Amino acid sequence: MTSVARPVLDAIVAAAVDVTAASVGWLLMIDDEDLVVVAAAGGSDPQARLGERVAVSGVAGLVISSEQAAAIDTPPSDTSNVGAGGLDGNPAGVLAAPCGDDDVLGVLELARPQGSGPFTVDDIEEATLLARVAGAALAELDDALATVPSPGELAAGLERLAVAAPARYAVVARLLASLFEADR
Amino acid sequence: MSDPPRPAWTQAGEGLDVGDAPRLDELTPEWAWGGADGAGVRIAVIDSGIDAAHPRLDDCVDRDAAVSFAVRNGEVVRSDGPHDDSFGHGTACAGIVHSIAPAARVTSIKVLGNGLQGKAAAFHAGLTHAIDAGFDVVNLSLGTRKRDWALAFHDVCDRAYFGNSFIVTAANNVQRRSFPSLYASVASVACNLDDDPLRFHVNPEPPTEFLARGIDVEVAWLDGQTIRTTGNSYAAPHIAGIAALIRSKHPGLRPFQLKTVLWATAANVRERSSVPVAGKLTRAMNR
Repeated sequence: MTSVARPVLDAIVAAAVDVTAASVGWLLMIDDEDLVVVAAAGGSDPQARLGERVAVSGVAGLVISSEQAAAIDTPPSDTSNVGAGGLDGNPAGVLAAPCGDDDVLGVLELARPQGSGPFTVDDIEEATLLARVAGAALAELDDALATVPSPGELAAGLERLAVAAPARYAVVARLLASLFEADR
Repeated sequence: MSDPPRPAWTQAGEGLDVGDAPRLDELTPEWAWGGADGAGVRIAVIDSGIDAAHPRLDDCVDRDAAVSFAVRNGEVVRSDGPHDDSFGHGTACAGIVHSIAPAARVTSIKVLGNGLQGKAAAFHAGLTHAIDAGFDVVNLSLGTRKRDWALAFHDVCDRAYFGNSFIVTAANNVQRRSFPSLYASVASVACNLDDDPLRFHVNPEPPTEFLARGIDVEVAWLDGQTIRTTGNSYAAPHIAGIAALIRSKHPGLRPFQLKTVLWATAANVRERSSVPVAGKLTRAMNR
């Protein structure tokens, strides 16, 4: 993740946790057919789940599929929610809102522990607003990732430069080639 | 003396039979659905699938008529026959409809939960199937924000309206674009603040036309369980259930008339009262 996007996304999740009185929150970004945790706030060690891949299921899956925010009181035996893994025991309530405008890029998910009240319509509105802001940041992140050349593309470009200006680039090209060789 | 010239579509109004259509002042809840149970009405729930065995559904689901749509390799793929519910959402909507219109038959058209690719295409295919199959009431507790699909959904909703299928859609949970809930040919629904499932309101500021129970509602969910949940998704099936009751008692009513009956029987029309609005951001934006 770019150094600019990370603190912005963390701040958005922290704000969402704060205004909705949630105990933990995560921002999950769609990557192919899975979700990846890209920001987190609240709980004892929210950062521990960064980079984790999760299936499109539970409330997060519903929200991404339906493009609508959702708030549910989770039955104790339902472990299909991402939030279920971040609390001691299953959450009492899960609120999720889609990030993005025309295209849903991810989901902001918030959870409350057993014993706390349900999320309200006000909470849904506030989370949705912050999820839209997160969507703009995720779009930037998505663009940035899309424009980064793959290692292979980078190596090919350097090899071309090494041919055109060997004095300047030959050493770099040899180093890169040896790295790829070591990877095989 | 010859008739005066008139446009080709003109008809002499005096000769048109409107059946036993009541006057506006005769439209009461008792007239509209008193004694009705939804018998004879077919309802399509276009959603994440339905757990037909859920105890709250009392075997109201027509399992063999279930259809599922997904997009694979860029093509919409149709699968006929029973399927599961990917999230619980479709079962929740079906349970609400059944609680209001217990004798109506419910059919699941699954368009959510079959992957993340081409959701709008699968959704459109599911809605088109429901209209082609002539369902009396169609519940859509979902929508798409994709502008590319706006015209396609507009066309199929108009076809439903003139073809006598009554589409009930959930408005987005916040004020933002969602198709087809913005169209006049559907009944778009948001939450009111009531606990009474049969007490609904007319929204004086469309495109959301009706407000029904949707806050902290106990609904059927996955694995035979129930949960409490909040959202316009759960308000729409309340209106779909009431529409099923009305169609059960008055099968000749067309969507335009059905909307009129809903307007006349809404709590704020009958009581000449204003409607409390849920959500502080929504209230602030309406100021």
